[in-house]
Amino acid sequence: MTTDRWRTSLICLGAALLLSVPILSGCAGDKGPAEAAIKAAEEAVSATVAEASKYVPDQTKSLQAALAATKEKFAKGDYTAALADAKSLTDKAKEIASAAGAKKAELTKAWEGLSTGMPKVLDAIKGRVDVLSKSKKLPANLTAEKFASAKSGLDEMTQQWTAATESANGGNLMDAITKGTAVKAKAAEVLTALGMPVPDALKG
Amino acid sequence: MEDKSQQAGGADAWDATQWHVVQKGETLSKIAQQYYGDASLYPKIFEANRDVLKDPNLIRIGQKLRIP
Repeated sequence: MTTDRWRTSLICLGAALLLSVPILSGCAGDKGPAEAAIKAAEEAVSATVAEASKYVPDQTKSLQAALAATKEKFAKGDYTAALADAKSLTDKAKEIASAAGAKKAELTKAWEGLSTGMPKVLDAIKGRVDVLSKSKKLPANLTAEKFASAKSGLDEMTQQWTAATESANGGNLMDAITKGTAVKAKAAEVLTALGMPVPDALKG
Repeated sequence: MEDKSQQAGGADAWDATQWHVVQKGETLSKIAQQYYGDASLYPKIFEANRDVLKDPNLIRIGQKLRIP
């Protein structure tokens, strides 16, 4: 009985080994192509990352993580999966490069609008603050506290606008837009406090 | 009370210029008093409107003045 069981086990083991040979040889056959595909994916990812990280940072991070995971699969000998992943990574890198390009165009347009319009608004506020600073008495709709707040708001906006412009000049449009949008919101608040009209671009 | 201030044209969505349409009985001093709380600041309005005003004492009803 024991000998029979032993024999059965040997037969099963042999069968398992025989079956695994083609599978293993199939995996090993993917090693070269996987290596080449990973190299191509690495090149596609590195060509994309520098620009894409500025405009689509989350997608760029996930692309880098996917590349790392693909390399790990390769290191563990899972060449078939590594090959498939590497091939799709190259396509994904192209998609992300395209998304980054679209985002860059969108941000460039938004910054062009802000950088053309915001200085006019700040000039208008500064002009009014300068005149009111010379006034012996403030207008009926403006308290001393509101005026003091508007003046400090103007200083804050001027500094933030300078920072936004520096970010844009440094190629960081995301940061420039974030800061510029904050200036825009503050400007609407200050204009209202001063009893001045709020331009359409600052509404909503 | 009628809001006498208005935005110019609307062509420029970023234009924050404040405008005032002159009403009967108004002077630059009265307008300065309204917007600045100080009638003596009327020359600021006059200077900002030199393209349409020749004399600070001569303003016309319906004239559109820029309030700096």
